[in-house]
Amino acid sequence: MALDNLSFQVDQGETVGVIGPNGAGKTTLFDLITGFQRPTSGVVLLDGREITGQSPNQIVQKGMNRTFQIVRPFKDLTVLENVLVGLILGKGKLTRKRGREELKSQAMELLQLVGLTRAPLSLSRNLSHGELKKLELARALSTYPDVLLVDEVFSGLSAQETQELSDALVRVKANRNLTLLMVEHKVSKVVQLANRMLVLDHGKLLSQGTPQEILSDQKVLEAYLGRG
Amino acid sequence: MLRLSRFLILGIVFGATLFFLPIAYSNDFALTIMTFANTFAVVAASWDFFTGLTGRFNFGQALFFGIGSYAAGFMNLNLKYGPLLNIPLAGAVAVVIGVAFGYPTLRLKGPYFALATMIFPLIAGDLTFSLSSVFGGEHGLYGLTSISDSYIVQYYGSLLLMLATVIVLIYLASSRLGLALESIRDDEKAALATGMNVTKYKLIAYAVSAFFTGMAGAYQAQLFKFVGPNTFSSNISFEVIAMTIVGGIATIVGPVLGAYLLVVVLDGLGVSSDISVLTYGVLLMAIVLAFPGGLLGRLKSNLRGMRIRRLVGGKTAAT
Repeated sequence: MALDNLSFQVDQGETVGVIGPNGAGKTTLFDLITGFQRPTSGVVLLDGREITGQSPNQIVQKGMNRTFQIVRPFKDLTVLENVLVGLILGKGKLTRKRGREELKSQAMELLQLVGLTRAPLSLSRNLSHGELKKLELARALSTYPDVLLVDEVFSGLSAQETQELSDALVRVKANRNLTLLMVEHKVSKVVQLANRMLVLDHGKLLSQGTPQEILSDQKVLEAYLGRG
Repeated sequence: MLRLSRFLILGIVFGATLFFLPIAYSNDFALTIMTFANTFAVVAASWDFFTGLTGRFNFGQALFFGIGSYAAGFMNLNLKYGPLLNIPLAGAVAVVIGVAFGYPTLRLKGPYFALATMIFPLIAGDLTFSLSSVFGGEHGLYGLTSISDSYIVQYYGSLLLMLATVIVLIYLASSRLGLALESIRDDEKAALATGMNVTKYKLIAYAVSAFFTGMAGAYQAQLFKFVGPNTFSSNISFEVIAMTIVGGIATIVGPVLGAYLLVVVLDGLGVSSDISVLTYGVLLMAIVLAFPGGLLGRLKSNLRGMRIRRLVGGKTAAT
């Protein structure tokens, strides 16, 4: 069983980091919350309403969206179209029928918000890994979520790209008043960005608390960080 | 912009040639070949609309073609409907029956969907034998009313059907529907994460493809005044795939060129059916090697540009 007897709550406006060694069940947790996998038992609540077992698109329409550990761009579409898909077709929260000018300005605003400076008509297959991470973040935001789950957003990035994306997340959170849940291997980044952390180990919740509490938790140091 | 103009000029020249051909060269045999080419161009462009845009390989386009043919035959013989009413109605019947076959399988991924589509025409073909009192078994349905005895009218009718199909398909491919379909093709999981109902859009594309192919089947049935079980033949499915690959997948217009090239090569030049598969194979390999995206593969970017202009205006497209 990938996850077992796991229960936690994220309050509105919080940034919660989820850490744990490989195979701890972090991505499975995201898949269960966002409808890409169905739990065998248990419930997922959003704003107090049960969303367990709903399809991913239904959950997006209720105001929750995600990015993926391995980036999944629409590679034969342009940067602009990648964002337009969510803006036009997503029916995410706050989405409504808009004119050409409004659509264009919203798409450009999203690209600017995440700091993607690449020409909007570039094919996304030609983007660097760091640019793709930003594009995926912009696409997730195009559905106007209240809750955003970002899965290993800093993986495979250079120090400069990591800093740029970290700045983008801070901007996005402030701009959209988002509730942010982030799975991350780079613990230093989680400590920097999160109000609270969850530590998973072998599918169970090992510990939770503020970054300072987690960093001084003996159980975490032994099981995850490998030093006592 | 220069590239678009060049393609536009080519399109106008191609269209004008097709339009004025019967006036300049009124040869019955040539007109018959061109009529077949137009009918197959409809089927190939329709196949491209679903498979080219969604990336889901349909190996059973003959299902829609056969349903359209039999629906036209049945309605013409039993309800005495004329071709003008019969052809669009047969398209609608192809949508209803085709979607009934396709809906349960559209959720299947990769090779499983492709395999399922291969089986559908076989089942439908068998049904024409099982229900021989209705569909005539191996003899099929014959004695249908002809569209016209004039080869010129038959040709212009098929040209009209082909042009109407291509215009509607380009319109749809360059709309938000096209955007949805291409995003599904690129990554279905990511498309779900934008909040769109992926199954709904795939079903719409499948239905559109069925409608136009069903009409092409009906047109051919009225043309031959006959419909038989071979309308469900897998040869038809494979021929339209070859036409699309030759012309350029996900371009809508490419398959039209592919249909003309292959129909003219095989029928016009009198290639025997015994070696037709070999001819297809050699031609296909040569073109794929020389033009990996098909002869008109570059039109994909024109279609994309058209869509961006329609969705957000021209200035961004020119950025």
